[in-house]
Amino acid sequence: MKTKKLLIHFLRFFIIIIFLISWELLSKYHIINSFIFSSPSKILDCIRKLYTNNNLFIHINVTLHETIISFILSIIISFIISIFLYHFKTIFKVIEPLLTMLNSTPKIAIGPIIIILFGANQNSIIITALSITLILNILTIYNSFLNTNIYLENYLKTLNVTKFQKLKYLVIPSSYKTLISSLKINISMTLIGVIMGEFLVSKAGIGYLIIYGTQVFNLTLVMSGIVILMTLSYILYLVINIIENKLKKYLT
Amino acid sequence: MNDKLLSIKNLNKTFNVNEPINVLININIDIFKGEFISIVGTSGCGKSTLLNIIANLDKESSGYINYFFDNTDSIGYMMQEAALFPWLNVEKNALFAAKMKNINNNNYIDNLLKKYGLYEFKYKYPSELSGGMKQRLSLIRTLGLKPKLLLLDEPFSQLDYQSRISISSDVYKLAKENNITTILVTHDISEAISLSDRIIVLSKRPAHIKNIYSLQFDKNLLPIERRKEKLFLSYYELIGKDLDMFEN
Repeated sequence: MKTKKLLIHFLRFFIIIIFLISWELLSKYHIINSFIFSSPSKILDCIRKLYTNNNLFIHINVTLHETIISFILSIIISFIISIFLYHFKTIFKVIEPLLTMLNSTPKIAIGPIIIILFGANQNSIIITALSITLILNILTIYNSFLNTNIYLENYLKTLNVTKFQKLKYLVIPSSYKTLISSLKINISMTLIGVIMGEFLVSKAGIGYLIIYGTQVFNLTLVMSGIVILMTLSYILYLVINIIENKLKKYLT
Repeated sequence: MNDKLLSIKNLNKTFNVNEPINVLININIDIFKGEFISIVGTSGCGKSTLLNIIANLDKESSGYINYFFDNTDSIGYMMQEAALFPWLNVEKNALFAAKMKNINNNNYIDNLLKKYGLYEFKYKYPSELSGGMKQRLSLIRTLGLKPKLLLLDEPFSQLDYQSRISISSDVYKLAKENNITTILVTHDISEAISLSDRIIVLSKRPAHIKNIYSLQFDKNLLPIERRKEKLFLSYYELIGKDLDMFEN
């Protein structure tokens, strides 16, 4: 089992190395357009320069900060709204088509409205990220509220519990499993939202780096932004994985 | 023994799914304090529906039940499924019902956990328990309420034969020691005969009371000892005939 795990790790590493070497060589010998596709050495150099100019962590911090705030806000707000809708199911029935419509609308389309409403600042970036995750989260949590274990529900009926006790002891804990398993999707969706927001309005952040690189035709900077973003996304994924495993132990 | 605990009068139940389906017809019975009653009948005849109506989980279509006690706080219901909270450990599951009713029975529940061999597992979660252990935990949770009326809906059906005999005996002893009135729904006639003071036989759907047997065993006999008595076989035959078990 351990050997298989090691083999998988080795193969992953091997594929990445082969990919990077091929990319470097293809770019070096002008088989691919090095201006458009850049090369791993140029990207590394660009990231090093960002680091020595004290710019790298400024951009990462801004994006990370926006992502974490949006992520936490999205979970808290969607949880509260889901509890409200669970209590007033008729309201949910009334707004369900609207939620589905809003959810399927490309969020980039409502970006300009968000900027006009909330200003050209970080708030708009967070709202853009929320616009991507919030409705999906509400629908997921609300449905998990509805799908509680029927036997447990009947058992609580035999105890004559109040509506609040049912919510506290059955409905909310039942949804933890769904909530935990949606954390990974949530963090990547939030990151997408933040980058999209940074494309629209920002003075710093990884999204800003990418959009700035495009504007000045510095495609190495664009590629560096993408590499930093992928690394950040992977680190966030690992962190959420650890949190998820810890929570699973206690809550499921 | 002669004080009434509940009285069921002219009870009828109809389910309205597409067309009305009569499930229970004219059920009349008085249940007395400390009695152990079993309800037997063919599968799907309405035994559990009757139990659900007694537990206030379902409403009768007509007729009524008179409770001669505060029925909201003193009914313990154990269902076929253990219905344990997967996110609570054994101890918290065991204390759950008492907590909901603001009853402090911690020592009593601890003793029950010890008695049923679950004390060493009190920090484990339901997913780490066997089927039998889950069922025992569900029983402890129900008994932890010290209910006046204990409703058991085929609670031993998921246990192996040996555990079934031993746990049903324990429930019988506990009910008798604490004067808890017990209504057991079961499809197992032997179980009903070995445990009960009276057995109510329901007919096929729509169910009416086909027969009520007051069992004449020596009061000091344990459930397992009843199984060796000649009377046991006689009752088995009578009830079996009522349920058309020996046809073909």
